[in-house]
Amino acid sequence: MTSRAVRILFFMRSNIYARNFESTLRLMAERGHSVHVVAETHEHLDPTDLLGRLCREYPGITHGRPPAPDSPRWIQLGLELRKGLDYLRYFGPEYRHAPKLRMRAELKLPVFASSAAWRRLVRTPAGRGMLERLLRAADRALPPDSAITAFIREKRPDLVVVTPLVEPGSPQSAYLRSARSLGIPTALCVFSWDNLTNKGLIHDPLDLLTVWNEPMKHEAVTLHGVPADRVVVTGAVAYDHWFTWTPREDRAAFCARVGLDPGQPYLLYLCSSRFIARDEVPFVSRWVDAIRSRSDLLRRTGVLVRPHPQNAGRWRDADLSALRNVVVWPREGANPADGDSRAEYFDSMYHSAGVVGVNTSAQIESAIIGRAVHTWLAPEFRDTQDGTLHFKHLREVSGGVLHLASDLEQHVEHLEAAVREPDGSRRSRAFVEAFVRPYGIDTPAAPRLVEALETAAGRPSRRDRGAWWAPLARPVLTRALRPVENALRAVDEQTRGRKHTRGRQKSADTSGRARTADATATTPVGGRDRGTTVHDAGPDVPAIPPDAFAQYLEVRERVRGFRAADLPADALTEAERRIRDELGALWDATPAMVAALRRYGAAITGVSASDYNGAGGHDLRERLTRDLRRLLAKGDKALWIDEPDVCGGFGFNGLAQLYNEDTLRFFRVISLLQDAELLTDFRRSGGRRTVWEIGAGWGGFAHHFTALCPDVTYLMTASSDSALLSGAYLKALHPGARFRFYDPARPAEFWQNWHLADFAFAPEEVVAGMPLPGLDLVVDLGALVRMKGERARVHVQKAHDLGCRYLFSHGGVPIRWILDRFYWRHPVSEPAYVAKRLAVRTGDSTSEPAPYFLGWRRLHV
Amino acid sequence: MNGRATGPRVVLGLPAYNRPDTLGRTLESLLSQTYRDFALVIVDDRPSAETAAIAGAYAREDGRVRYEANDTRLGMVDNWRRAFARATEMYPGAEYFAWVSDHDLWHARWLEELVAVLDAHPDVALAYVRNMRMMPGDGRMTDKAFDTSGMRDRAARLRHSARYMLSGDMIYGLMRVGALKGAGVFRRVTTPDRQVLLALSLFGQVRQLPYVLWYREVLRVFDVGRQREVFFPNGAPLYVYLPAHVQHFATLLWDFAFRGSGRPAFGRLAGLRFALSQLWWSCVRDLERPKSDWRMTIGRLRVWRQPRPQQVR
Repeated sequence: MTSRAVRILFFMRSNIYARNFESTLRLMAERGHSVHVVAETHEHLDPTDLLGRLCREYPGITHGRPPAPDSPRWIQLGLELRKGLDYLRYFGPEYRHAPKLRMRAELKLPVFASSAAWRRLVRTPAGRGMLERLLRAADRALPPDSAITAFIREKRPDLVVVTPLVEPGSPQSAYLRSARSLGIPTALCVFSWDNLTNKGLIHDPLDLLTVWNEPMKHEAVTLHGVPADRVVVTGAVAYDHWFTWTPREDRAAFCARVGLDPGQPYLLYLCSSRFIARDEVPFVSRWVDAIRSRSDLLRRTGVLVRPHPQNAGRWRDADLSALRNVVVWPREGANPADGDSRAEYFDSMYHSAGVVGVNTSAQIESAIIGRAVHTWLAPEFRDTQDGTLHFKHLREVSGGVLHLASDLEQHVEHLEAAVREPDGSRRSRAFVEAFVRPYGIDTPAAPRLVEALETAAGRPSRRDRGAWWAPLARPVLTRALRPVENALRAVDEQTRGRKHTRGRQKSADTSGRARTADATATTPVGGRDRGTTVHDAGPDVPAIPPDAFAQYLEVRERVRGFRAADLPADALTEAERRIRDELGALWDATPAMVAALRRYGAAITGVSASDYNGAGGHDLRERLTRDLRRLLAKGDKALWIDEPDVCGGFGFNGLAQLYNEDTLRFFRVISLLQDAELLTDFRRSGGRRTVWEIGAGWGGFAHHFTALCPDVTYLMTASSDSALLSGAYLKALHPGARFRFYDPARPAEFWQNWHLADFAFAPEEVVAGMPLPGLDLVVDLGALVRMKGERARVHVQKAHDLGCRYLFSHGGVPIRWILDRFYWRHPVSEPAYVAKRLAVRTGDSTSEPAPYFLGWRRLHV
Repeated sequence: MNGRATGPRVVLGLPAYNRPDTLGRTLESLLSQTYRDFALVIVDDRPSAETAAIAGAYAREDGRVRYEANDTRLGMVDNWRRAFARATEMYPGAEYFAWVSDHDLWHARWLEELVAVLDAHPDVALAYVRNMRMMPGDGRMTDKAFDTSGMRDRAARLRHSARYMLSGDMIYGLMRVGALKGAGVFRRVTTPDRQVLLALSLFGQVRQLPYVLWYREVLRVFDVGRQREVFFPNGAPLYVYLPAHVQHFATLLWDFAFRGSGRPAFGRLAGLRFALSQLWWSCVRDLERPKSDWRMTIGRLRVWRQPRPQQVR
């Protein structure tokens, strides 16, 4: 410990980060040190103005905004280089089972990641190694920013501290680099317990790294390469204050105020962040149902749901009124950053009989207060529980803080025991002693941290002049600046365009019904690309749904899991090989390609956006319009669903908002199902039903069907290429839907709680043995006829074996013998009826007189 | 064979007549019904080894199926009567009955929907569905509607039925066994379906479901002469050469005015009134209806241009 007063320059990303260092800042000021906090101010993030209050309270604490860089182009290039390095870390073996983290990293890819060279290199370990060395060397060659250096020099600090540093691309690296160029010691105070595993790398040498506990020290050393002697374990400064709180209200008063029955115990459900649990509302409803049905005790037990402050929007309009003695509070969310909000938060934990959550810091806070912390390994959150590295801390440190159940039933048993005898303090205490207060439960962390900072401030640091070869490399890097700037400009323009069209896209998901007004004018929409293949959409591509690329990445990670189950090339037919080749590019799609995802459907159906242009487009428009008019006149207009104007949706408008050959075909199939009185079963209440689409297509029919019959679980078995296309497309259209992807490592999980999935994807390999709990309709839009005979037979026989009453096939003559063997032909698909009722002049019906087969199940095969 | 006291709630009578080509498919569509508490009694009026083999195979596999062959050919009317008689003898506890053909198809939900209607509405004596007509080289959804649900007055129901009912479709509906017995099942007259449905209208309402759950094969157009031949293979009695309405009037008069079969629901005097009402409104119907018998007869005489004949099985 040093006796002299030190000057500390503390760079925080924004004022919200002050929350976790309040006790540290106070103590430093009390010990006579001066701290100048540099942070962007966002009032909406911290309405309590913690930083302002500290500044007013302690003369030694001051606050200012970060300096503007002198050479933003270099800063930007550095960001892009480090984003590349951050991305590469997720190829490490420790992230093998963390698909969601990898997906999030891909969202932050550097602009040059769309180049062919990057895509080639990143596929192999050797290539990634080469990329890493290249990026690291380029990053090292960048000069410190002169304006930032001047700012730090002017402040004359003894120590430069940053937090959180590990954001993608590490924007705070510039401060560390300038400080080192001045010979000023640098430190990183880790902001939270997940920072070293869930985010980016520490790219710069540090004189001090403070962490909460030994497991985090291990992460710093092994994952970030920080020398062990520079890492200091301090304890969790963010949680020091919880050890001194006492309840503000008694239990009865608290329950009465929030609306719970004071006469009954209650469980506190603590929601997680948006990344961990994007939408917990249905999950919580199911959880409440489960505990209510367990026993009389749990039926009477109250439930208090506390929304996460960053994800409270999901709860604003959530209606849980049907669940007795369940309260969402505070419904608007509250960040516990001041006395009142902390007191309420503390009381809610303190008075509860137990705490439940998926994966959140609040579970640690509950442990500090001595409450038992419960969770179960929910399939829908597998990627954000076991799929994150920091969740292991909750499971494993000192035996783990969690009362962890492998399934909901066991979890409810745990809860019943907890409500009967509320005692979780022993397990919680052991965890807290190891993870929060490693120097003893009564030893606060802030003094340790302050001492570490004082020591680092008193330690001489060598001036870092950079690599000797850096000046030689900079001219080369200067040449790289322009492409980076151009790419960033393009991204900016795309983002602006996205904002412009967002309102239009929002309606596509919900209001796809036809406007069958008497409008006669028809104009092509979205079909402006002139190429014959659609591998890169170019700047013309319309309407990128918000987060479509992120959703694509998520789907890709899941589908990649069953890519190994794809059939070998020699087991495929020529048509299937062609589709696979054409969809192969999707595995390395750029955002622009995802924006044109729909157009890849041409590989499967042959309906191409380019046909909707020029002279050919004019003829097609006439035929299509005539067909549509005829179909709508004979059919039920309420069954019409427009082609969604997103992800490169194309077609004509006029009679309907947007239509093409695929849209008409789907309408015909749906009309046929309606004539057979099958849709009624799916549209009336009476239990969730299952539809199995063989082949998955490009997702269009799944969208059409589920738009009309939402209460179904829609299973698609397909090759990974097809599943990627349709999965990403459907995810873009239905971001709130529940998707499920088959995981060969956990095959049984795929079929569990089947009715909770909206769209489920599995490889063809599972078909013969799939244990579906029920099957109501099988749809084949051409996949069977593309297969070889035996594979088609296996599919149809499986449908029959599962007791599926109805099977629709657009297969034609080559597979008719298989269909006839297992299914009777339904009268509505007799050629004469189809010809009269659903004939069109466009598309496939002209090539074959009876392309549609709707079968009802034979009892005798 | 005697039925059990705890037998099925529904019994279906299938009067079969030489359709081995369609019988298997028809039986499967019936045995695939989502409503499973029913029995199926097949009465074969022209037994052949092929028909017997098909029906026998299903009867062996599924205990709900019973197959009987007539020793001598009864004709269509008597075979329909026998199907009902055997079905209710075998399953005396059955509440609902329907005739089914040996060549039509039914949606899996057909019986479930009809039973639900009869269960929910005690005033309804017959429930039936819309159908799709399967004709050689053609298929057509029917859009005709007839419904007396909500009409509590017997006379009004009878009047409405006499003028507008779709007897060819309704006769394959699901009926209450008690009401059908009261109406007299099938009488030995021409268009006996119309006769029994007129009588049935006195015992309850008719409800038509808007769903197409029955796929009806139609091979020939209606022909009175052929009907006499098929209905009465041993020779048609003289009275069936009278106009059908007169035959129906006579049966209603006999049943309800003389025998008092309508009691306790209604008395003899009311029975007389209903029989007269039926005759009057049926004649009015024929006067109004473009496809009525007299127009068709005149059409055949080429006095007037022949309207398109009504198509019935």
